[in-house]
Amino acid sequence: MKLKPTLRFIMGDISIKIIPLYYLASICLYSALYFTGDTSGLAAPDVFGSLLASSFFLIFVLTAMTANRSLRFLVQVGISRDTIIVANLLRAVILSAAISMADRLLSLYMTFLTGGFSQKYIDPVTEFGVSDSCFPYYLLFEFSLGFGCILFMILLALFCSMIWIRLKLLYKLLFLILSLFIVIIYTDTYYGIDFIAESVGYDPLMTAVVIFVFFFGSALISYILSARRVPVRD
Amino acid sequence: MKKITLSGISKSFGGSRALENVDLTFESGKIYGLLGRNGAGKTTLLKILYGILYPSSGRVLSDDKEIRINDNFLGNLFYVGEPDYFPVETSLRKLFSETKYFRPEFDTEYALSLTSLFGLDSSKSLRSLSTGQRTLFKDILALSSGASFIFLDEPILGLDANRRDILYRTILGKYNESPFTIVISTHLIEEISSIVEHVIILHEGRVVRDEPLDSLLASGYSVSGKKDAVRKYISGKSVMGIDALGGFECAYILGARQENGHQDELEFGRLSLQKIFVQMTGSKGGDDK
Repeated sequence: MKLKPTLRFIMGDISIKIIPLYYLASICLYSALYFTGDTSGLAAPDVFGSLLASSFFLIFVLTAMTANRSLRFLVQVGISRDTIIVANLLRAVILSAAISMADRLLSLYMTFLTGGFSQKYIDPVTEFGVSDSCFPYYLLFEFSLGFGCILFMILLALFCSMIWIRLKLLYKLLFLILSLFIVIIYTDTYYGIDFIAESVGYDPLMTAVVIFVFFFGSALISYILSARRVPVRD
Repeated sequence: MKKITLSGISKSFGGSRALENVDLTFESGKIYGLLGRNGAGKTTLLKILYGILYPSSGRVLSDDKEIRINDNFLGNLFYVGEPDYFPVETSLRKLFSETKYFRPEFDTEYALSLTSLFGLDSSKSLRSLSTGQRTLFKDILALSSGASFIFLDEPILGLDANRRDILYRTILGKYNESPFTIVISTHLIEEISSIVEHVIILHEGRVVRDEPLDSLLASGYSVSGKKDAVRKYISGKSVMGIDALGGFECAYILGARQENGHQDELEFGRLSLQKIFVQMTGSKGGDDK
């Protein structure tokens, strides 16, 4: 299997080089907003939400630019579908993890700019106002939100690949529904893992694992089965 | 890999059948001509072999063993066809090096030498080339690929007579140097009859002829002369078809030449590949499908 050159080829696409530029531009933009005194739009939760939205868009555009182009060239030079699928899966995982992590770091930077790490509260003993620092790593590695985002982005990346390599509408819809399910379950605090775990009477972690295996596994299998036979666009 | 066999290959697109129960074997070290009218299924067949399309049914065998189309199998093959699967904004030189990246056996030096032989500028992008130049680029890529089975789909599309001649000589030169299998699918039948050894004729998705060129050409003969004399001669014989021109006719007959009393008024000749092809695949003006 010529996996290494294939992965290197699809990761080395010119569009991938947009990612660092995108984050550099984001940092410059938010810093400019901060230094011009306009911090109203920089509240951490809002920023994180908009970061996610723009990252999804970024993944969509990146995949749109590369998926079909890569597929055509790789097929032309004699790379099998199996190799292309495995390389695309790895690419989706690497890109999604990198983008999710970059989003969290950018969000931390925003939080730092807006002073969000310092929380003021009244000391019950002295009754004076006291500032305390949040532990930023908690925000970075907090389980459900970050995990949900990574999963969702992986699915989105694969979904985009499917769109651009002309799969059947049924597969596309299935993927979209599964992606939405996953993001709701892993990120929504009300209808999320805790709610489902409580409803079925299981441990929340076990519930999360079962849901992950079921939805994510079925999404991957449907991707692999369908992508294996998709025709190359002339 | 000594041979590739297609066994019972069928392919449908929606309700339309492109290939029907095709059984074929490509042996190593032979030049094949794959002939058929537009829509006969030639490109579909080649794309199935190269894993670009998947058959609706049937098997692909390598040296009589059923195989899964993987990188190892595809490494022995190279297909180029009419659609450009290459990034068109990339220069030819870069495309050569990218191909080499995936196919270590690719001969970049040979590719560059052919590029200058055909008068192409390797620093130019694929987008800037004419149809004929793009065809040449793909032919060069295939001939330099180092693959033992090369499939050329319309390798002379848009080429002028001079370049076609150079291309045929280049193919034969390369073939004589180290024999490989080359399958040429084209509509310029007479031209390739000088280089192919084995002919496969597809018609409406089925194989109607699969035999060595010599044997195909020897399978019949033509007879021409005045209409009445030709009609008398062909009576009771297996006639593939007749061309009429005024009071003269030329009949194409299958089987060995037989003597009878009318031969003084008649002229006998060999069948040409193009005549056989036309007679076997019909003379309707439209496409097959």
